[in-house]
Amino acid sequence: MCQAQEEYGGCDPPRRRPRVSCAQKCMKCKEASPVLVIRVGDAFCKACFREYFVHKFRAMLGKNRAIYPGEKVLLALSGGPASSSMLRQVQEGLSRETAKKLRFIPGIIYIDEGAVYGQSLAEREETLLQMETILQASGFPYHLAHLEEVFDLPSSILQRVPHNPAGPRNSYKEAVEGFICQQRREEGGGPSLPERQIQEKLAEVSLRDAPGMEGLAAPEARLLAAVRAEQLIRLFGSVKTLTAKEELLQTLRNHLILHTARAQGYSKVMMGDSCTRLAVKLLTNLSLGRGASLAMDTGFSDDRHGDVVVVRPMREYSAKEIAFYNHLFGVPTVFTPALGTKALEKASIHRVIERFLYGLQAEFPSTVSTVYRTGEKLSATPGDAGPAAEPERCLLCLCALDTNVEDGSALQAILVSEQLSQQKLPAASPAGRGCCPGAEEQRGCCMNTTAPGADARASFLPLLCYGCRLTIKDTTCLESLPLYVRSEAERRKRRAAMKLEIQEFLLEDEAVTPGES
Amino acid sequence: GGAELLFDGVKKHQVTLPCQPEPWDIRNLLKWIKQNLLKERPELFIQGDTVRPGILVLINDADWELMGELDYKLQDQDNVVFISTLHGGVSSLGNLTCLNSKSAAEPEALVQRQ
Repeated sequence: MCQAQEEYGGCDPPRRRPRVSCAQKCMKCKEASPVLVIRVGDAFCKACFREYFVHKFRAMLGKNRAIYPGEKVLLALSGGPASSSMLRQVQEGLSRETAKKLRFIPGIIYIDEGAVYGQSLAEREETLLQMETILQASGFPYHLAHLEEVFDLPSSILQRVPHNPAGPRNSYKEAVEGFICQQRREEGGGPSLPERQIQEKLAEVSLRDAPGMEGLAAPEARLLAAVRAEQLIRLFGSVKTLTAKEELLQTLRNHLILHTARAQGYSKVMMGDSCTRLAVKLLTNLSLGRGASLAMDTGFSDDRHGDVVVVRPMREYSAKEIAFYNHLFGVPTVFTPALGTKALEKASIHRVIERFLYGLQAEFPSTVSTVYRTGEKLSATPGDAGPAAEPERCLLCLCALDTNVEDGSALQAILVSEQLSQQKLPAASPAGRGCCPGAEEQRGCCMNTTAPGADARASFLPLLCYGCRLTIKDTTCLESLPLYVRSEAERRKRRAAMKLEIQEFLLEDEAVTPGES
Repeated sequence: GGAELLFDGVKKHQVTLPCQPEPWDIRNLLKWIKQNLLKERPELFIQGDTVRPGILVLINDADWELMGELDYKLQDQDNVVFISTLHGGVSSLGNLTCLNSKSAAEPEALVQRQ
């Protein structure tokens, strides 16, 4: 057993990971000299690495069989390395030369978030120019959106649309075979796919489709854009912590991507989350109280919105592999500073976890993949509300609500301690130690929690899951939230109130006991 | 991703390292970079005597793990690239072409902006 005075003379310091030297050959072809090391001790040469990288993408899509041929897929491009790499893989996969080419119809969306980062208009224009060269070079239809456009979203974004596929429910193999036959027929006779070309041209026309901006002349549109940017800055200014800001940013970004996908008829969205990024996200979400939705947040496919499914094909690539691929094969990326760039290490939970994981990975190179593999084992289970009932969903993130306050749950403990700490304050203030002078006369002492804002907040919070509640608690001004959030919240509150009123008249699903008429 | 923010916005540096009795290896190169090139917040790039975890180092387009990491001895015209994989975007931090001056020397290093 370990004792304080015992000398650990016999123990060596923790073993450094084994060094792979350049003298070894590539572990795959055994001929060329290696250029990089993946995982522990796997050295690859350039050609074998490229093959491995490309193959992994196609295997990922093929294994999950999520994307049917002919489907419209929206690629979410942030300009960063992982999404740029994803775009390159899609381009390679769709090109005619490959033996088994991918068969979906891609579109790209890029969201300009410069207003949140405090960038000047000139900087944002420059970034947009750089992105447009990349987007145009790809040859796919693309959509440019500004984050300010969230203020014009409809509140239907926050409602889950049940997915009823219009077409026949073929198995994946049948769908692929049917598609190949159809293509052969089309290529055999007549002009090549005129319908598809027209569709693409139409999509290209609507490049900067800003919801709510239709029918406005140019100067009015500019004024509206400036007003919206102002609202966005005010919203993020009212959020106190960097953690909450990052969460809110992700939520708004997802809503905007979802809206574009729905408006343009895309049924799938591809996000470029790498393995490293997902491992960080997994631990961060645990720390943020989002453990209940981990499977959806980090899994391959995320169907919380119903009709539009989010897939993550880059989830098995480590950040190192992506960075090497981009450098060796010239994948263009555009750097935009994020909220946490140059921030102090402990500025937000995201930064802390990232630093922790990266630091651990440097010494123990299997850290990230272990976290990732553990996350892979998670799967979403239906709630216990009964098979027929639709589980209640969080207003912002559309995950099933995890806030049933059962006896002995952690949430109940938190709520109880909150109540206890609030009850103490009214007892303290009459003693004259109140912080405001003349607090006995005023009811509006700052320690008094029955301010009008607190009422609105108290009725808003039950609509949210635990993680989103923490984000909203850090938001001082609820009025600065976009209109669609507030109107959807009102709608749900009214429905809940109405349901309560007519509760006794509703027929239950359980069988009526015999003897009652 | 942003490390050019630390290098005063310059992406590519061509440096001529001064003559010195000890041979130039990556360890000394990092010290030199810290003293001469990093304009702000050195802890975002260097931790201890190595780079911060999350920053990749490529020597002549090969992983530095294959070359001996900090102990690799720099040769003339070597190209060293630093890539950050940390959040906030990733792009090339800095691309250093190291020219070892063979002859007797300039006391300071020459940094040419490209």
